[in-house]
Amino acid sequence: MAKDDKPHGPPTITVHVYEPSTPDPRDFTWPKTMKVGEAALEAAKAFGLAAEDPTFQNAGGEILDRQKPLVAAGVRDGDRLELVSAGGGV
Amino acid sequence: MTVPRVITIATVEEELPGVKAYAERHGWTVTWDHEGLRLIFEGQHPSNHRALRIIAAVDGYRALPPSWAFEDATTGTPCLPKRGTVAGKQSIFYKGCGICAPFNRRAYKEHGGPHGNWSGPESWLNVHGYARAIRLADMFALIVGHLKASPGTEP
Repeated sequence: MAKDDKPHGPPTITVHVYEPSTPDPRDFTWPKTMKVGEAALEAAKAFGLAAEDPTFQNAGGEILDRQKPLVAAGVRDGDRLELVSAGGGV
Repeated sequence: MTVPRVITIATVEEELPGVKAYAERHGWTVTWDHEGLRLIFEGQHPSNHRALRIIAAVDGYRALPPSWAFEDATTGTPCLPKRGTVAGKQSIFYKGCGICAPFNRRAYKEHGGPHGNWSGPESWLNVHGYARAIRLADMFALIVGHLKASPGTEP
């Protein structure tokens, strides 16, 4: 197999998303290239939240950049993510 | 605005399963001091591993936001996480009030903080455009996220 033909795996990832106030997670499957902010907005709607600028926090506690594609933000298949606000302090 | 103690306790205890579940997922312990109306989180600063205690005084919740404070869990002395950058945004940690966000009572001018522009702590649920969290677990999740980007503690 030529180098360029190397398999990259499926184009989607499935993650477990928690809304911190809700003990049970929901699973979502998204394209790897979907932006973090778009995926977080979709998750927020599924949880029934009118969230402002939602983003994800990974299992290590890091808050992810909404503008990055999921895969570039380090999100991998099977990851556990928390839905949080992307707003900063002043 | 006065919230009957029994209402505050019921409100916090309704949110407690989410708070405990989040804390457990992220390696923190949480104690509900219903006599003192305080939630007490204990864990470590992710950068310097200093033992931290984060206290939310919830008297008046949810008519008022909690009052958040940090202390060294070993000595009991007040401390503050240093500011980092969180996904391109400014940290919520701030010397004047600990946490500079609408969900911290101490951020409001009426409670010694810098914000006279948020219409007072009774309006905390209507303040938009900043780090926004309207439930205790969401607040603590944001604090943990901003701690992750913090390079240490002071003093």
